[in-house]
Amino acid sequence: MLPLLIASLFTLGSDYRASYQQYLLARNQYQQYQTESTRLTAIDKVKRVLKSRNDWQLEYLKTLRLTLASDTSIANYPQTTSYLTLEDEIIALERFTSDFNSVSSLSQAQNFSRSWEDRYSRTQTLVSQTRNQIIKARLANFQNQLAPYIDAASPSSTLDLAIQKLKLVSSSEPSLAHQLLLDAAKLLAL
Amino acid sequence: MNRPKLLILLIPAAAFISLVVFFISRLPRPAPAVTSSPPSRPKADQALPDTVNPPSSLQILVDQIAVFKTNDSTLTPPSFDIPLQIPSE
Repeated sequence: MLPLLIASLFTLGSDYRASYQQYLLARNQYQQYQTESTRLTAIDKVKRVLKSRNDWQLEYLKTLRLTLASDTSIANYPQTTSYLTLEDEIIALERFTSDFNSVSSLSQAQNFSRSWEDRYSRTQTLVSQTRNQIIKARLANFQNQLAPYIDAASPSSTLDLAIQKLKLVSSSEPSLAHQLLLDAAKLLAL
Repeated sequence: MNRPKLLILLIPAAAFISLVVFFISRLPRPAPAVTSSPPSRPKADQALPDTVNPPSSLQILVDQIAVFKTNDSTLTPPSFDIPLQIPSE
């Protein structure tokens, strides 16, 4: 399921970039000629770019929600909150899909686009938090895998140092947590 | 008259050939193809006696942690050109 979603994200990204280029061309032609024909083309192209942008973001949030569920098992309150908020965002973006289908003028497209972009900006914090939770869950999984080696190791100053590093993993940001985990694992493997 | 001459030539030649055949048959034969097991590893490389967690599995885990990416590209969000700057009618 997840690989399919990731492949779909790649296609949707290409669709968005193509429709954005077509929109820019149509917008320039409309601004230059101001004819009914160029206006209708601009409306058509703006509808397409609004839809492709929404589709890409929607699929990304679905992938993120699925990854969060599979990698963290939604085991604590912050993860549960992220999951539910992602679900709300997905529902909101699904509503935008029908809004964009009904666009019949540039001013209407402006309103929908502004509303979508406001929502998108607010979603960035949620996306960043969720990504951190996923990475930290993956690091915690590694930490759990190291536990039996610590239990089996003979007491030594090297073991103490590895344990000290592992204690700091959960409270550190992902890149530092990763480094601490790697240091501890290397110490255990000495 | 020709017969003794011929014998004088043939006898040493026959003796020489006999000697060559004798020595060739005494040469050591090529060794059979080697199918032996690989040379034993130095003592330090040999697996340690069984423990609860074999070192090799720990090394695999170390390698997995080393290649782990905290900036997983599959989690990278889409990037958009915002705002769209839709023209007014």
